[in-house]
Amino acid sequence: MFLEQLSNGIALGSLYALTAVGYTMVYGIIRLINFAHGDIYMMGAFFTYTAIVYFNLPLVPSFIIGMACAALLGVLIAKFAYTPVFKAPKINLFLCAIGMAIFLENFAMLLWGPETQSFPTIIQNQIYTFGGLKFTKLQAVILLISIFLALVLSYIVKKTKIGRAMRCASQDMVAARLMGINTNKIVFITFALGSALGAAAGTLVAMYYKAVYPMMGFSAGLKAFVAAVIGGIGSITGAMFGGLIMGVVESLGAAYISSGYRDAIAFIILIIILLFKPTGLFGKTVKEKV
Amino acid sequence: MKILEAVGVTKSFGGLTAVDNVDFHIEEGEIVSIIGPNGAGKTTFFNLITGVYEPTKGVIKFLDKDIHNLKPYEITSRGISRTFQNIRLFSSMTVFENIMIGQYCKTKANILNVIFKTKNAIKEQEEAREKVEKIIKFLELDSVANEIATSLPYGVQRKVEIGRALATEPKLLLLDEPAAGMNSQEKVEMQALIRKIRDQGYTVLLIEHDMKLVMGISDRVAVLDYGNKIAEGKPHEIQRNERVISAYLGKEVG
Amino acid sequence: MGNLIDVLIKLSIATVILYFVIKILSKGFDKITDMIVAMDKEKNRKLIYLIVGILLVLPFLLSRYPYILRTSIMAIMYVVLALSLNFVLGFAGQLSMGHAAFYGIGAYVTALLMVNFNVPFLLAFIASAIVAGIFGFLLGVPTLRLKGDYLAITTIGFGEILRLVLVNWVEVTRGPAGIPGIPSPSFFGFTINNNIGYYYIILLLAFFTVFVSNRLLNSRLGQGFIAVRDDEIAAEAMGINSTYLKILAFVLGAAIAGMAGSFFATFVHYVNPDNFTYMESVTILCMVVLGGLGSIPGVILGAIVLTVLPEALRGIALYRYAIYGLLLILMMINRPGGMINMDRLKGGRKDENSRGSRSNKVLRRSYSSR
Repeated sequence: MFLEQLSNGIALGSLYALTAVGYTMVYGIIRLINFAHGDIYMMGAFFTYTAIVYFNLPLVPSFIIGMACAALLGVLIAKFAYTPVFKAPKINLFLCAIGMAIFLENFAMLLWGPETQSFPTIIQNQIYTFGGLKFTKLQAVILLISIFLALVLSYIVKKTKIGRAMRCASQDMVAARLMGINTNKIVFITFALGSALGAAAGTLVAMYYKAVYPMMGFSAGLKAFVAAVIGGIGSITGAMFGGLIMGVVESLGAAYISSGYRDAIAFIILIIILLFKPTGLFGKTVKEKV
Repeated sequence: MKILEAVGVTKSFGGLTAVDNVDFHIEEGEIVSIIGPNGAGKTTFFNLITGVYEPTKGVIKFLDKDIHNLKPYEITSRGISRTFQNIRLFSSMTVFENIMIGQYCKTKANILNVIFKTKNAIKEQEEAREKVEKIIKFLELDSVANEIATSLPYGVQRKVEIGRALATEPKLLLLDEPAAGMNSQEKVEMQALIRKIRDQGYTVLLIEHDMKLVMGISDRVAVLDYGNKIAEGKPHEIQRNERVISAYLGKEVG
Repeated sequence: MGNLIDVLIKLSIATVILYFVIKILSKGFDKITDMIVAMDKEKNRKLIYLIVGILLVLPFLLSRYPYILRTSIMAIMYVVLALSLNFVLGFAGQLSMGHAAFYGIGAYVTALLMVNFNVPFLLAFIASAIVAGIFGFLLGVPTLRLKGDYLAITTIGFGEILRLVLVNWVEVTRGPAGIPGIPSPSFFGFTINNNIGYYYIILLLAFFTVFVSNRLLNSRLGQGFIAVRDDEIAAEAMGINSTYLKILAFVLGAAIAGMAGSFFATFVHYVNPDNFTYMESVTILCMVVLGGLGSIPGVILGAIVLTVLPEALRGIALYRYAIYGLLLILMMINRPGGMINMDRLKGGRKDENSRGSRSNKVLRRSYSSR
């Protein structure tokens, strides 16, 4: 029972982690809680779904198409909805993101209908055992894809020129611009990467629960956000850990404490962590200079 | 009478000791300046006096009472008020409202008094208004009193900050680089203003980089370097002090 | 999926229309704001009397349109809710995103007291305000250390936890089924059982809230709030106990939201956890920001517009929330200071709508300033 819940938690946690990374990346660059991120995740799942169901493509190309379309969507959102508000007070940007979330949810309803669509079963159930932890094949796939994407991302951020520019921009946007970094481009690339990861997570969740529906991004987005904050928002490593911690604690909590409060567990962990470390586990304290 | 006394005050941030074992005092009615190169710990010292930071070691006494463990707002209501190096006016308020905020700690109305507009609340509000009007006259800010403060020129904003600090009716006024960014004409005016403030009975502690202003106005000057107080004395003594010249004046002014 | 092109065309048309409507209305809002600024006290008073007069006779004019009357009641209730959030967000500058929780607490307290213990409405109403205020205090104290985004997520968390408690604590709250059969309020033997009566109750509450907001804003405490919002460090240096003020704002906002909740419970005679979701908090937040953070007339207008708009868009039912989302985005792009900008109300700089309201530095830390 415990081990089963633990492996469930790890699989779930890796999904939270993937979504949370997108949140954290965008936050790192423009200090925006991108409330629409959960809905990009939903759109990504729908894109993959469309590729499979309407165009009869196999899973892998569909998956990639889903990520690509979501990346494009992320860039479009950044360009048309967010950049015009960058110079306004932060709360405006925040409301823009909320508006975008509401818009995307309803846009998806218009296109695919408000009801839950069943996501085709592609990976058959089969059980693997790793040192006592039991994983279904699907969970294993989720875990592997998540790890793979996390590695790709950390390669991009740590080793490439673009990644360096991203890290610069997240530390000091103005200085980065003065040093000749095209910060607009960086913002768009960040949105593209974050959205693609979100779409991957969305698709994997759709596969896991065999369902896609327009509101699926809402609570997932909220929880991914919590995961990002637990890890210290802005820190990619933090987001991954935050996601995993949340997935595991949530699964165990749901099993041993109360399944009704499953969603509350995330927030309770969050509040406890923030009370002791107001900037999350991996966040840095920035004291305002007087 | 000593209005402020600091004994062995130290403040470290991690490994960096920004203020190191500084003894310092101010007599009532004095104008005292703290000078020193950038990063010498001057502003940190201000922040220690005003309670923004708590000292790592040492005692700060104001009117013979310990204040080093009080919150900034408590220290202000005891009679120490300050301006900021990088002007921090309330950006959505007019000049009048900004200065009126200084009277906050001198008024007492609570939420119920405010909602029911009790006699006392109205009365103290009126009195506060009158005091603020006096300060505005004193600083010659009448013509801009109803402008949004942060939309005004730099020099005027500095004056508004001083006005706001005066409105808390302090016994000790701390000015953090009041003449920074001013042209020489404005600096002369600022010097006159500080003197005028002292003549009103306030004690003034000043951080300033402009030597002409400092030497022209101060009764006493203290010099900080790397967090240590390396000299203290009358302006003409400081000008001739070897350590000061080598640490600071020699390089900067010559 | 087959209707992709159709949907895109319709939404594009909606975007273009919204864009121009906002541009045109912006001019109108500026005119109104300038008019309010230019008005002397006498005229101002007359205008207020006129508005109050219209509000007082409104239900009789609407007696043949029950649907509009009902919408008006809801609109006024949201005015109360938006103004209550305005204490926290507009005055004290604290980004609280769980405001629906206080509203829900108020509603449930009244529902439970009236259904289970036959407590008279007035007592239940007062109890709702007090309990919600206590929760405001409980939320306010630990979150004082948190700023901006962290505060936002914690308040969201608080709201969600409360909702889950309502769902799961079945013995008391009856869970998702909610509490039906909440009696109508009665005063001294008079039972309010029609919408005209409810209209006057909520109108009274709205007057009370506007009155409190206004008195507060023009007092030392209100100015203290604004100072804390603009620059907390400077405010503390000026002798303002920002901790006290922030908690005061939370308690006041929560208590008034609780009163609105109490009203809501007796108005619809039924409460369930779905009434107090995160989306509800977001809706209230949008009202405040869209109307104009901190500006009392702005927030009132924002609440009315955002309550009436979805109703008015019922004709295009499928599209209305997509359009609602678009409206939010376009408003923020074209009129960041909200409909009636607080700075402009003060007769400050006139070119504000290009830069947004300066009145929330705490929430700002914007892209450009880093």
